[in-house]
Amino acid sequence: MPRVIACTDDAAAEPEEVADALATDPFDPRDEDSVARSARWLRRLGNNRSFLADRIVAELTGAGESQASLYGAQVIMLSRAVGNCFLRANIWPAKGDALFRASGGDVFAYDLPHDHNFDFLTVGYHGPGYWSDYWEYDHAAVDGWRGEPAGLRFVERSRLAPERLMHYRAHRDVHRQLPPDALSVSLNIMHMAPGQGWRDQYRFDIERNAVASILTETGSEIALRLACALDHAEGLALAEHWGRHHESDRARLSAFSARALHAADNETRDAIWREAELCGSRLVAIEAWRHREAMERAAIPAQPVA
Amino acid sequence: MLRAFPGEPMVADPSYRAAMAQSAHEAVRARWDMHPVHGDLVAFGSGTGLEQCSALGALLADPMAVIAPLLDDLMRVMRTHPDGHMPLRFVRTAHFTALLLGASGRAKLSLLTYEPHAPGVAAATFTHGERIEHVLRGRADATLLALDRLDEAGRAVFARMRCQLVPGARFITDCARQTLMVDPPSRPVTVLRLARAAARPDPMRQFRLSDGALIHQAAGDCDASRRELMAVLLARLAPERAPRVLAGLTQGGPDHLRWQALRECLALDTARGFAALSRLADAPGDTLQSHAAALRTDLLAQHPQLHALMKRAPCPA
Repeated sequence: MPRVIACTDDAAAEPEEVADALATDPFDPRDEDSVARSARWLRRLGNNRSFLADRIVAELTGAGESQASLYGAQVIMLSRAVGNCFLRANIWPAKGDALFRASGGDVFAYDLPHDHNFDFLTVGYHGPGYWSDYWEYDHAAVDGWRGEPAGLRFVERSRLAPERLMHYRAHRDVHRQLPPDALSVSLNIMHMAPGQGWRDQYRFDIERNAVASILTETGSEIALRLACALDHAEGLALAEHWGRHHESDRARLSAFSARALHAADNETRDAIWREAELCGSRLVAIEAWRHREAMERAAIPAQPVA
Repeated sequence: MLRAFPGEPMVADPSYRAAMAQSAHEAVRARWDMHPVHGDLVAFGSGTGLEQCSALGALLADPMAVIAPLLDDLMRVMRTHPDGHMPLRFVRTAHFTALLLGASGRAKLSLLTYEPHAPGVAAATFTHGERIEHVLRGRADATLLALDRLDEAGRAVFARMRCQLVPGARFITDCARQTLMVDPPSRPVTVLRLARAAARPDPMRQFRLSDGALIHQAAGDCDASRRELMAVLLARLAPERAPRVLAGLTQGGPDHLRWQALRECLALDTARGFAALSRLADAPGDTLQSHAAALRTDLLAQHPQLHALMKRAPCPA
């Protein structure tokens, strides 16, 4: 589960002060001293009991810019990207809250077991804190195909209680968030690594202890898919190139899928997936085999009942 | 790979390479953002008529004249800098894949593909806004489903018109009453979509196709949902400061936001909350007037001391 960071500091800081500190002393999750320093700044932000109300008053009275269209209802951005991270607050409605009753829990990412492709620090700021079931796993041992055994090891169920400060480790800590007992808020320092978009984040099937799906996808993969759908010559050529050479197995799979989308007939589509099966990536090979099998099943005419 | 000077060893720091790649993608995005359609999206998104948005009009008249060069730019940077990723938002479902090309205010411009062999849909969704779709490539059959009326049990009664998506076809829908339901095609069908939400959107409604039952309803305005959540949170974070802000929220915006703000205000500050309640109860034509009047009557019956607050209010005459 995430590391609990023991950090005592009674000082309080404004978001701008924390952002300035992180700009000059970036959060490096690989460096224990950096984690400790960044955690201390998050602690100080959490000690500031008025800044969030100030932000909310500003936004509700029209003095602050609405962030709804960019980040959704649940997130309050506290800083722009500073160096390699940014600050944000998350609001966690309880089951009894009107918005939860109206929209359901899915929109708040509850009951979705997942890991993260980035590190972050978090602290409970208000309310009893959302609950989490926590697991750990070995990301390097997983290729990411659907149904692949994930080797999750359950740790505990606990909540992000007020002032509890934790370090979620990329590709190691898995959690399933559950609604808090009352409306709660957490504050985060979110790390952004170059190339992060190509590192896979998974959704897990807890009952089967398996990978359920890859959650990450990039605008590039979508753009490539649309370009192929539009018969864009360079898009099709790039899809072929990425399928063979991209460093990310997920990108290779996306590229083969985009080519298959463009294919004029099943024979061409099957040839593309056959090429994918032989490309040397286990993720791509297994997913390609699944596509070929599904196509074969779809092609078998239904047998008449005797 | 970066070459520092001729003869020097190549530099291959993955982090640096990824950062440079991302900068290249951001530069392409910045160039696209300079296109005149974005200026028109600002105007269109704040309510200007499409006839006054010449760049958007030109885009809809000949989409590939704009889309093709954009794709050229995107594919070029993706080939030369595969470590980066294009900073454009997107949506991917079993039924469609959409790339958000631009957004401002209530308007969104998307490139969207209806996915082949998608599963059938069991429900129709109606949002409060308008949508223009121009078919760029592919063919599919579709149904233009209209919400004709609600019967006595509140079930939707639909009118259906079959149509075809073919290249060059344009579909304009009033999304509060109409929805275009595309039959799963055998090959992808790609459209350019320009959408604009209503200024004060009614809730999104979803009806089951088999019997017209209303199966889901949600706030039509993400901003209003956010403001509602923040209002509730403010009441918890700063109960001494919140009532003034909450009372202000009762004056305008969607009804669900106003009502929630009123409830929170009443819970924190009886005098200010009751004054806000009375303003609503005494406002003819206000959509909350009858609910507010009924609540005021109930409160006065349960708490007669509230009559004193009514007597303090200035006579409107």
